[in-house]
Amino acid sequence: MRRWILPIVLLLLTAALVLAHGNRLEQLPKNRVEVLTEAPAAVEALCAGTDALPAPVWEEGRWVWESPDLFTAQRLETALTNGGVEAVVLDYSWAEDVLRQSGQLWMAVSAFCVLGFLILGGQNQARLEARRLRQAGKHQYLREYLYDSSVLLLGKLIVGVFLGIVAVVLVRRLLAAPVYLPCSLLPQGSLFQPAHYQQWAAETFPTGAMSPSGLQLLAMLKVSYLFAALETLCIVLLTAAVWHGVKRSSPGKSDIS
Amino acid sequence: MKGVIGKLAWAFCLLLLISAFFCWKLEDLRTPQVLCVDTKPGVVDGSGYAVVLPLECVQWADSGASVYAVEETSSYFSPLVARQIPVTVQAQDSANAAVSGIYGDFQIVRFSSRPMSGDMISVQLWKGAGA
Repeated sequence: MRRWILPIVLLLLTAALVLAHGNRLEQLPKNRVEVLTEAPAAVEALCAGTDALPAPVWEEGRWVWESPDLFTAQRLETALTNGGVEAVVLDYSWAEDVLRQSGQLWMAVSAFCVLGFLILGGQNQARLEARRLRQAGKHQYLREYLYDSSVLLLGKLIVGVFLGIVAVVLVRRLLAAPVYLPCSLLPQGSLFQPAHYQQWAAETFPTGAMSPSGLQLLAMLKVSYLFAALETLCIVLLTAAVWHGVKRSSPGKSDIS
Repeated sequence: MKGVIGKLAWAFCLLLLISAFFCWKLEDLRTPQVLCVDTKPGVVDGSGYAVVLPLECVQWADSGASVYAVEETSSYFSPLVARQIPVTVQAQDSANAAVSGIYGDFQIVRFSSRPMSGDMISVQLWKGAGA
């Protein structure tokens, strides 16, 4: 019983983290595109003449487009460039999806852990049965062994088929699950370009030029992904603890007769 | 020894599978989503032209101007590709450009979620509002 204390504590901790994380994500900052410019009237006039751009809102010394789509920032940049207006466009059209995703990462991590558990468990069971068969082969015929162990083997086969279906469903869900990242976050070539990520952060969250919403988004991103990292750590530790507990309670080589 | 090799082989295969999954997801994330316009005749600077496109469709490089035309393929992994077509800009104003070198009806990439480079690139059509 004592070996299950750690898994139970980890399970409770994970559940508490997931609940607290979910509570934090109840009020997400809205997707928005902000334009900082020295010539707000010119920007307003340009945007009024551009199709597919809704009317902006003046907020905290900048024009703000709420509920933008994937290309609102590009449309704006094009209109501003064509109109010869200098402005900085801050694109937060990804905010809600990326934040909401942080609250769902634990499900993907759990699915990976369950799959790992199923693969290792299946491998162990196959090895155990092979060992049993080898042991039995020393003093009885295969047919006799199969007759004696038919109920056990059939039970394991049924459970194996059920768990196989669970594994297929999990893999399909993992393959179909969308991943959200800001479009410009990933570099073109190698992923290991710290300079690119620093530049992206500096352009997306420029120091001293951020709105209260931008600051709130940055703070929420940090906290949400910290929660996600802690949840991931707890789930991995929980899987390892459960695996350790199961292995200790399963029959060893000496128990096989 | 045999057991250790078996375990290592298992771990390697699992790692390979997980890496393949993440590579596939990353490749999906790095596939540009594109917003396209149809080729159509129009007027630029008072003259009529067979193909007039928004200015942002035209990419400028040392080798000249080009556009990306979206085509369907029979590939399972890249059902949609954008092919670079060299064009000649005949006239342009502050919003549109008249181009020659495009023969037939094509969907031309106007905006893409990621920078596009190369002769042919796998893309996804953006299905959002106003697309």
